[in-house]
Amino acid sequence: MKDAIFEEIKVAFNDYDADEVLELIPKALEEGVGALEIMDHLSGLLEKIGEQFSIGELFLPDMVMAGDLMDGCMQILKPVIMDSDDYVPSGKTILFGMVRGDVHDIGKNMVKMLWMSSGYEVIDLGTDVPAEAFLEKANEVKPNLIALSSAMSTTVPSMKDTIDLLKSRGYGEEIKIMAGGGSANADLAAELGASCYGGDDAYEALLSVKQLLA
Amino acid sequence: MATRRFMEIIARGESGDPTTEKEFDMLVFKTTKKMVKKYGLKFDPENLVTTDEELIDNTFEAAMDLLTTLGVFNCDSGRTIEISRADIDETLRATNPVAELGIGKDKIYMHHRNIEDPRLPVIIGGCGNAVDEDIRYKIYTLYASNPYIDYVEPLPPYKYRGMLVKAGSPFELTACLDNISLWRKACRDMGRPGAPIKGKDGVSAIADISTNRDDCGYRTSDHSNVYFKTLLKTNYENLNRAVQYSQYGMYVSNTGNGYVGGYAGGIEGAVICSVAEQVASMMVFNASIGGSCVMESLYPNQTSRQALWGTNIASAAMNKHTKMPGAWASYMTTAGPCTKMCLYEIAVATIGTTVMGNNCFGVAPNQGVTPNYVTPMESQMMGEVAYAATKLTREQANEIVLKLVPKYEEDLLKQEAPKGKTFQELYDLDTLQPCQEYVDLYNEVWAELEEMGLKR
Ligand code: B12
Repeated sequence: MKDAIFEEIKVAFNDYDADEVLELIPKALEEGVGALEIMDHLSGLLEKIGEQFSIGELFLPDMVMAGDLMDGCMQILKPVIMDSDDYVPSGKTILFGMVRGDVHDIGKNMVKMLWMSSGYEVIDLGTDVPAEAFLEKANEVKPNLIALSSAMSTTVPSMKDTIDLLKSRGYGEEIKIMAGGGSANADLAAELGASCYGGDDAYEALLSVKQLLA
Repeated sequence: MATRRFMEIIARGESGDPTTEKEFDMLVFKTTKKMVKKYGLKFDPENLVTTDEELIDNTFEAAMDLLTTLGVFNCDSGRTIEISRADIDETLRATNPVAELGIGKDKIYMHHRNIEDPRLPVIIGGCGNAVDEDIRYKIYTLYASNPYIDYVEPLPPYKYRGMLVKAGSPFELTACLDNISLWRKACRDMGRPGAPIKGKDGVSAIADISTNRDDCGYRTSDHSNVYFKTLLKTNYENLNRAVQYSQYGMYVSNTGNGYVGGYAGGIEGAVICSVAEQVASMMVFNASIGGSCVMESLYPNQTSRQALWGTNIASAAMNKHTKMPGAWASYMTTAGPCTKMCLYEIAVATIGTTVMGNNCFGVAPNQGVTPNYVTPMESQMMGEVAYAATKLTREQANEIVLKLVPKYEEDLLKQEAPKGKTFQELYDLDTLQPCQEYVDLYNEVWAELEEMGLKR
């Protein structure tokens, strides 16, 4: 029974067929499948899509559609999970964005999608994000990690501004600040005072986050 | 002048249907996919410099279908600039096939070139990597006096009084003005005061716009790029660039950016997006010069088989179906200066694009992200290869390209391109002569190219 409906969900999910998936999930719940189990199944599907993306078999929009679909599913599953006794809040939150002046977002979106597909909640502030906006959001949501990206050497100084401001308000110790992006490297991250360098590509970014937030 | 109706066209973005950026992105993805299928476009790893006229024609048609279906999205107004087939036809009819760049005795004519055009292309060097301030002038004099390089895109500004240049700050504005002044000085010192330049190097529009000044900055006889936000999106900052450049009187240029793996989807989608952006730029940015930038994005490069195939088809489609001069060749390599792989990558990208009718633009070694890893030898290689490639047919070009790719393909796929050496390591900083090691390597690669049938 469960296998059959999971198979149906899989097919619909891989087609990004939102209508179908959003119909199947309540049906699975009605049939007595646990919400956590369903979530686990969906995460697996999302992770698979992430893997295919990181070897170039699927594309960014696939990740976006799958991510949106996951969001939709979570709307249904979250209240059920939170009502149940065995709810353990596992979601770790990453605050992410391109620093002020930088509108490159292809790389950032790839990193974000891989993080999301591995179960992290990513709050994406987008591109050209002022230091203050990072601080305000960090104060509001208290993320587990703040990740900054810069694609150009000319926006590295904005990254420094952002790190300086965040550190002056106590971030960078318990809540770490990660630097990354085309213009960043390990030496530079250290020089700027970031807590760590997150890696050269999306895959490395995922590994470092897994290690950091383990 | 690309279109007289420039202001009318961009004003459409004030009243079109409201959309969100995300909705537009997904629409690009879905429509591109549909067009690739409808026009039967398919990557062919054995025909990287294609002779398939039907494929070239279908590529152009697919791109026009895409553009008229979607239009261009203005992210700031949240509305679409609609573009009709009649707009396109009118613009293509009025296109000027030549750009007059530079002044006086140093004037250069950039022509629209046809596929297999025997005329020599214009060679735009530079672009490369950011460099330390103490070597910038030296490199510029080498570019300005190199027989194979007509002019450059300036190397990005890097430091100002020891600080990294910060985008949008007064220091960026000053560094950009300093950068262009230094190029002018280098050209004057080398006896070419009227040589043009391709802009821009600023990150913010304010820095780009404020360097348009006749005394020491960009002149009306120069050209400056305005880009779309990938894909087919724009905003006021870039429209402001286009309007100011046009009103100032300089040429606007554009590169149509198609990235594999983004909202274009696969390589075929990247190709039609690149073509659609270039044609759109003639109207939305008033652009007079194009460039077909088709690249991989997971590991940024333009020398994988599919990136080469895509760049060459997009270039062919543009040069066959429009009269707009195109400038694009070996923009970026994955390997660095003084490595065989870097020279192979330059050759392979330049042969195809030259034969397909482009003028040439490049070279940024190491994907353009390693300061000081750039020398004029890379742009010279592009120029010398391009001149030689004007004697080739597409069949001959394809044969040479297929011999070159296996020489570096494995390292590319493993993402293990060698980083090479910096300008400081490769040049005598007093005499400005390249070291023997690089000269020997350069000649060695040329000997291999001659062996393959490319006549120096
Ligand atoms: C595509 C591109 C554009 C597109 C951007 C489209 C978009 N929506 O993003 C357009 C055409 C709009 C553009 C515009 C400009 N660009 Co541009 N652009 C590029 C290009 C060719 C590729 C960037 C890219 O997407 N790479 C692919 C992604 C996947 O790689 P990535 O960004 O490095 O991300 C990976 C990793 O870094 C990592 N990562 C990324 N973020 C993070 C964060 C963390 C925390 C971690 C751990 C990891 C991580 O994972 C990613 C996935 O593997 C680069 C060259 C290059 N090699 O990068 C130039 C480049 C970045 N651009 C450059 C410039 C100068 C500009 C412009 C100023 C040009 C101009 N004068 O208009 C403008 C600036 C606009 C602005 N205000 O930001 C320069 C910067 C030079 C410098 N000073 O450093 C470059 C290096 C090219 C060059 N050599 O000239 N550009």
